[in-house]
Amino acid sequence: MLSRLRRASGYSKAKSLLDNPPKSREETTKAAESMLASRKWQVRNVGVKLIGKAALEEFLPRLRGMVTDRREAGIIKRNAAEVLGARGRRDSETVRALVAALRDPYWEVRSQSALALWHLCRPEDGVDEPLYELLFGSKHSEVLGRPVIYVDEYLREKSFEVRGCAAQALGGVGRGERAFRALVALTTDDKWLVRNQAAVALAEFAAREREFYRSALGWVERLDVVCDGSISIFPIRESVNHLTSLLRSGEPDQAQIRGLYLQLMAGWHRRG
Amino acid sequence: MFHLIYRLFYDPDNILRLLRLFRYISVRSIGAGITAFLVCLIVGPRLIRRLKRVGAVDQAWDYGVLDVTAKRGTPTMGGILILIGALGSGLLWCNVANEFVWLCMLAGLWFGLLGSLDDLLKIRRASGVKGLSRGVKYLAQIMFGIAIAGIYLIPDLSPVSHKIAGSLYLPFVKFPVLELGLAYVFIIVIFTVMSSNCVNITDGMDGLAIVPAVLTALVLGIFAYVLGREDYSAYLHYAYLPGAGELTVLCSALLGAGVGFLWFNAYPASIFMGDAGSLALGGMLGTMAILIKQEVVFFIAGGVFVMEAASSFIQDYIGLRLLGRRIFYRAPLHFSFLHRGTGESKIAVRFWIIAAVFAAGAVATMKLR
Repeated sequence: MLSRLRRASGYSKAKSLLDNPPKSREETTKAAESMLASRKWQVRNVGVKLIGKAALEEFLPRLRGMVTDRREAGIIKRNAAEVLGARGRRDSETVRALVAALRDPYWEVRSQSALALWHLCRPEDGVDEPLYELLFGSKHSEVLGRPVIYVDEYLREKSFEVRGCAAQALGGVGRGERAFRALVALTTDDKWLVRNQAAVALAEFAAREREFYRSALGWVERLDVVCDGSISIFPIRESVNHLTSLLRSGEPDQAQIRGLYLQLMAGWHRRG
Repeated sequence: MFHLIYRLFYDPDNILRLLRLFRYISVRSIGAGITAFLVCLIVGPRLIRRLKRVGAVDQAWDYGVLDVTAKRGTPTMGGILILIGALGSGLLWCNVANEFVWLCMLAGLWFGLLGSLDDLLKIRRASGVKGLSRGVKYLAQIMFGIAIAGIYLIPDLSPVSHKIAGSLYLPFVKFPVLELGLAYVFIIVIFTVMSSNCVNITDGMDGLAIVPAVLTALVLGIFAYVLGREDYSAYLHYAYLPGAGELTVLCSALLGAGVGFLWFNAYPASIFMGDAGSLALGGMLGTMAILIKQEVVFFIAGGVFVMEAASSFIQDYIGLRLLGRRIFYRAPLHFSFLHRGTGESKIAVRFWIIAAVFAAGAVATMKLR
């Protein structure tokens, strides 16, 4: 085991350990520990992936620290956020770390943190405020209080990927009028990928908050479905068709709606 | 072959006087282009069927961006079609005794063989990443670069005069900026490796690499024609390269073969060029640029290749390896646009437009001196 760990000091060795993890949990834990202690960020990154792959929960506090560490490599923070979303617990420390990561300068960390919040949190956790701030800046209360929101004028977030992931997160954790207005604003985004995510999020939100149901259906039906991401048909048209039929049924299945999200981080052709 | 027929049988006193047509580069260029195009159209469907039958199909690998499974099973090694069209037509219409021509054909064969070997290994191992190792590819490219440099810089073998061979010419400047002599070997080797790999990196979408390659061939063909004529080169203050005009015929053949290949490679592609095509195209075009002393013009005309290679380099070496983060959403650049939601065919057409602008810019350097 020790010889394996020694070999794991290099990136390629670490990578081979990730591909063929040790059989016992104890050995995997030691390997992950060794990797996280490495001075090479590439090796630490493999360590984070190993933690996620082997579901080593004892390392979650370390990942919480990594995801908010400004000196840490962006890819590591992104992967740490992903592992927290997939393996983390819905506790205040994890949520606080992910919320703090929404302010990270690297866009992939922000997107992945928003997705992690969508995976972990519920509306009652109150994580929608940081998402409004992420999207519309510190004056989000004022912006979301306006009767009509022109999203291009008020958006602070420049990365379409982050906007799309934040919309998805709002679909899962958004509450009340402000979440509705934020999502409606995002359905007018220039990027069709964001519009698509916002429309699905709007449906997820409306299925939970029934007072917005009819308005949400109206916004989804009016969605601008012209996009430049044509495969054989416009993917957004496919989403809208599914969404409209689900919402018209009156009792849409939450899992079916969630299945319509596009996996922005993995490729927009893949659905949730 | 037609040039040889003209030389052997031309007689101004009878009907064979018509053979004089084969003396003109312009006539042979048109003939070469049309022949190569028709050869591709005729051979293409048969080759596609054959490649499918023998299982020479794309071994797509997950870039994390594309839905590669949708394209899995498309026949690859379409570079063979380009080489059949270009070299076959070249043999028919070029003066094959011309050193410029056979050196370029040799480049096409060498890089085509290298790429084919890479493709075959990927097919045999059923993996898009288990082809030739990067080291072996670089070694083969460097070996060819050294060979070309040797032929080019040794006075008895070189198709150009010794004084011109070792000089570095830049666009917008009328005279050579440096006399490099033997140090020019390094430039030739680096340029050979870069040119072939640039096209290889760009070849990631239907029709994406072939159109910029065709436009680059067009630009180099124009330059070869000008440099091969004493009057035009003197007027534009270029070094006169006797015999270089013959490359225009080969460029035209390459252009015709490229358009013929695009017939099948346009979205959604029926065949991919594979490394057999991308390395061969890059190698041939790079060798042409070296032979006519227009290395920098190659990078202007093939600006799309430079953009793609630069984005890939910045992402891999500066972003992911050095800084630990992505600089672009994805790399090479066309994957970044795809990730942002733009459709594949739209990206390809936009890159064609950019390639046309670069090509026009490269031709403009001819006069702006």
